[in-house]
Amino acid sequence: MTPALPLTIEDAAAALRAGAVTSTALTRTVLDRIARLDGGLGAYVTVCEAGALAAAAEADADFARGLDRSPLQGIPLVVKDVIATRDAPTRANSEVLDPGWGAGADAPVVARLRAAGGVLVGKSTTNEFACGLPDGTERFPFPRNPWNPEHTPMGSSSGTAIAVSAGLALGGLGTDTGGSVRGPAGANGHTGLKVTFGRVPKNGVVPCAFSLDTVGPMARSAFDCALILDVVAGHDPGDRHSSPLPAGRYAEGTRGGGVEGLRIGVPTRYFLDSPLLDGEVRGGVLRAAGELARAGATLTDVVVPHAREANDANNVTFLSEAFAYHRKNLVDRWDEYGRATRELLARAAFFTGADYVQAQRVRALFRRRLAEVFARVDVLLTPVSLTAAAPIASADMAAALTRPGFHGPWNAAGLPAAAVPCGFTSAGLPLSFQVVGRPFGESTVLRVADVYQRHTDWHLRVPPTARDGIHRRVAHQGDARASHTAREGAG
Amino acid sequence: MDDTNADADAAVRALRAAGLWLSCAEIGRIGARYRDLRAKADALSALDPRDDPPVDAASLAATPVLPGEEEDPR
Repeated sequence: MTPALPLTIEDAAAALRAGAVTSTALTRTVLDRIARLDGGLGAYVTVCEAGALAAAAEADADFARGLDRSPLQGIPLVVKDVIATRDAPTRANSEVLDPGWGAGADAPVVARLRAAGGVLVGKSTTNEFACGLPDGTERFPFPRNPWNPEHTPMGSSSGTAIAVSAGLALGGLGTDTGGSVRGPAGANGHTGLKVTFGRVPKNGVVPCAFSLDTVGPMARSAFDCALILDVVAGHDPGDRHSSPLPAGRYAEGTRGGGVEGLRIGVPTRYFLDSPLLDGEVRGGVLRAAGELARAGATLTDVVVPHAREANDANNVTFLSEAFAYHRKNLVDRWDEYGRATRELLARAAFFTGADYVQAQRVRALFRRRLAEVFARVDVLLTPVSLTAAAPIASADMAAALTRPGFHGPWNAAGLPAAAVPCGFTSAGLPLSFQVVGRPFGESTVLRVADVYQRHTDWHLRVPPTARDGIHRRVAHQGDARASHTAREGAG
Repeated sequence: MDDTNADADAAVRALRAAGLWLSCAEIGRIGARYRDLRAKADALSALDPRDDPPVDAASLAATPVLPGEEEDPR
């Protein structure tokens, strides 16, 4: 019988070092859970059982001889199937991608996870090329939200999000070009970080949009995300967009203090006043802001100039760059793409070269105007999405291009931003808020999230169908307050 | 009706210029967003970014501050 799975990487790391559990046992637990639960969830494209157990045995042997590489040693992790791994093909959920893509070598982020002792359990489901929508016709698992399988887990890092939420991994990597870490993290009730552009190397990752793509950590808690970021952040010469700036010490920075005196900007215009913003989402964001104020932060209403235009510039950029990458294959192999993917990408044909250049100028303008905002605040707090996870039947990426979007402005500006769970809707779907920081301000972003998570327990909730076999604890800090739920019993 | 036909014609021309010769049903679905997307792009063109050159992705990754700020990474 395999042991119960700890809720967080932090908990599992402590249990491993206390001798309460082995990495082999943890990994067997995760593999058993995948076998039991993933058929109905669609988190994994490829499970690397033999490789994972071998890595777990190596981690156990390292612990036995006193070698402790990092807090990730012995921890079962998953990576999105656009990230190359040596022991499994990279498919990007597409029949179009060359089956040999990645050349059987680990992307730098994967190599770093392995060098830190992490146990790679497998490759997780993605929307096709990180930009389509599953339509049920592909020969890949169909991802479902573990809180309600009739609802989308959102994407494109859907598989990693499902795995973290349902205890099919303790953490992992996704990619974010226009919200693809934050959206699914928020929709599945855990934490996800879009990093500053260039903070984490993206060579060995199937491109979506060259000037926007980021690789980021996804895990239940902000502190767990910091533990992953400590391992994967930092320059790599193989990625010409990889930042030369030294990486921070993110776990240390995340727990390095509270939020007393921290200035949190809460923009009403565009972010909280949209008639399309669900009332429960708005309520969750405002309650989260109140919780942070009670923790000592100062709230300020701010205006983010050109937020709508920045979101639109992000969409023009993403579509144009993705279309440039795919154009030849779209012309030659149209029918081999999923319908949602090809029809989304084809819309880039409506933009001209001048439109693309203007979008890049708007990104520059937006960054210049943001300097004025960040002169007054340390972080911004906004919704992650207009609504909680939508029903699968009504998911429409094309419509999303024309609605307000709260992810895209921060991709356009290259800033770090995290999705943080903050409750549930009356229908039992996760709610979340977004913390946005200055360039390379990941520690501050994660610290704000961590302080919130020390006062609440939303990030520790597990979908009802996945609770069997997971350690249950409501909060890991003695001063956790009673959490408001729109529906009692959610989580 | 005239505007709708004009949008449909423009969408078809754009798709064919990109090398995509698609079915009527596909053109209908894809082209249904033409006007909305063109409106978004045209609104960007109406902005005046002054002399802002296009953002440079490499500089995004190398600059710890926003434009106009002094370097004081936190």
